[in-house]
Amino acid sequence: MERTERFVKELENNDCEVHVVDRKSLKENLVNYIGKGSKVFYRPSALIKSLGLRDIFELTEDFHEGIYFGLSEADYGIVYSGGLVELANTREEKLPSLLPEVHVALLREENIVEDFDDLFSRLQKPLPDITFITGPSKTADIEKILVRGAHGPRKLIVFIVANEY
Amino acid sequence: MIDFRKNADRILKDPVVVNAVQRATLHALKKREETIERIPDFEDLRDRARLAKEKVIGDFENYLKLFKKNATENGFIVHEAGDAEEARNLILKILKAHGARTVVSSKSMTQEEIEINPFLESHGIKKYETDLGEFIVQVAGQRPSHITAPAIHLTRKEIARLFSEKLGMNYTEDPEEITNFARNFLRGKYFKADAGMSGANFLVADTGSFVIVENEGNARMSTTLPGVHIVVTGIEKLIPSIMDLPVFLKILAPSSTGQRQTVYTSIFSRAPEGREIHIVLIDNGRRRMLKDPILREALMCIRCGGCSNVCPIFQLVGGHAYGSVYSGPIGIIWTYAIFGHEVAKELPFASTLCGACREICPVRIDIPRILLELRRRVVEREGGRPGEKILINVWAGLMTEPFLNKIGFRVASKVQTVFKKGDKIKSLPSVLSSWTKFKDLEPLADKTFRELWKERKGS
Repeated sequence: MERTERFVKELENNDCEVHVVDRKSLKENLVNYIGKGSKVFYRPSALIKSLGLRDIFELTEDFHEGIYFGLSEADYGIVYSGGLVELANTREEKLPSLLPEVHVALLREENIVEDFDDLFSRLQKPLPDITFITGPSKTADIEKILVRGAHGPRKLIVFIVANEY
Repeated sequence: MIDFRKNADRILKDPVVVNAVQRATLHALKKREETIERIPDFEDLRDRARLAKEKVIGDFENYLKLFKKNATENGFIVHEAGDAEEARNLILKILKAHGARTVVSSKSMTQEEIEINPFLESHGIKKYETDLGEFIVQVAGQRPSHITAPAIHLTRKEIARLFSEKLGMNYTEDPEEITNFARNFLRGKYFKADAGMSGANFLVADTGSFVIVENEGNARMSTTLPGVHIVVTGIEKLIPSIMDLPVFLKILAPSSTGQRQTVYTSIFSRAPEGREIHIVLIDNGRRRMLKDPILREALMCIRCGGCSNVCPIFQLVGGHAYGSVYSGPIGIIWTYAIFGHEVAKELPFASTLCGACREICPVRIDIPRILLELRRRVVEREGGRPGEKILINVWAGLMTEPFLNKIGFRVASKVQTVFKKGDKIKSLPSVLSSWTKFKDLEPLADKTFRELWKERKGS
């Protein structure tokens, strides 16, 4: 728990909106946040499939302009950087966290690790593609003024799914 | 030849640029300080990063071979280019094989180094820079003025005017709206582009991976959306192992923008089915640097831009004064090494040798030492200014021979009255004149230290 608290703090430092929820209320939280009937560009995972979101959202694996929400389950969270890690074997898997306006990420609490080394020592060759995501897309190229949503999502919302004891 | 003095003179007349550069560099330094305060082992990380780079430089060809082998096993197509021309032709060949007409590209100094854009343009291939700063600079027909903030020399007004004139944007000076316009403009390009190009921040030898760090997401787009991806990178980007990567990720962003981490770090280790990923490894003078006992240290540079931010000269004039893709203290060395003596012979003098760059460099490159050596080489080839050598010898005599020292300064303190105006020396003749061109000198005291010493001892 203590690790999770530190992780949440780092995520918030990085401009993310964070909610720690239990498994039972996850679906309800997503519905409240995203809104019934919304189109959602998603990356399938066992957790997401188990939620039965098909009857609530219009889920798709094909992106087209105008889709507002992207949904993915991050493979790891790293306390050091306050960021998420996505592993991918295909390019399609990388897109839900990149193309929509808002990226909603799920992360199971047990997948929070302290540092980069903890992640690399767990991975086996051949390596998948690895993307570290620490906050919403940003730029400060015009007069050093911070603007969110330079090319990628303007917002990053993380739902940490608490361990069940 | 790059005329630094002339460039600097021109820039110093533009208070807007001077102001913007100063604000941007000081802002990055302040953020760096704040971030490093939260990284207690930062000094240790710097040592470890340097050690990893020393390993690569000490056994370069083997690490490169290992990278090539592993990258090929990952499914990447690896090419090597000896110089810029070979690199350009290689890239063109790949693009032509895919019938590419438009290319989207994320920021790469190496691409700037080989001047790929005008070359592709002349072959009918349009390449869009997608990093916002680079995109602005491209639309303006200019060059980046800072390694991590390419458009700091332009104001929002100038950018607003530029975008509305050249791209038909509805005039707005709001940075958020301008960014949004660029976002939408480039979105269209990503999906239609025939190929994507990028640089790389790190090449990982033991896994054959390449790594790109960024904040905007444009590199992720450029590397995933088009069917072909070409990585253009210098061979010095090698690090030994994926287990070294954390160390570099922990020092790069803090030293660069002052962030703890950039928003996105992408590690590529496989070419997905149906997609070609080419890696063009560029030498272009780097092996020559490797063989040079002094210059080789500069190959450790991870391109953070920290030395630019902290350099009193850069803070004043910005990147354009250096007249090269590589600016700031380390940029002088790179420009000299890559583009040669004739182009860069003025640049090593554009430094105060204050040592701030050496202190900030995350891999502890002794930049002032290399600059001093470059000055020596320049003087050796060009000869110093007339009289300079005599003057230095006289100075050496004055400072090392007690008798000359005694007489010399006594004479000098009498002679100087000719040049004294009020209580300052405002101009000196001939070889000495450049010392008084921009500042007044304090005159020698009436009595030398030795005389004072004698007097006080006596009392």
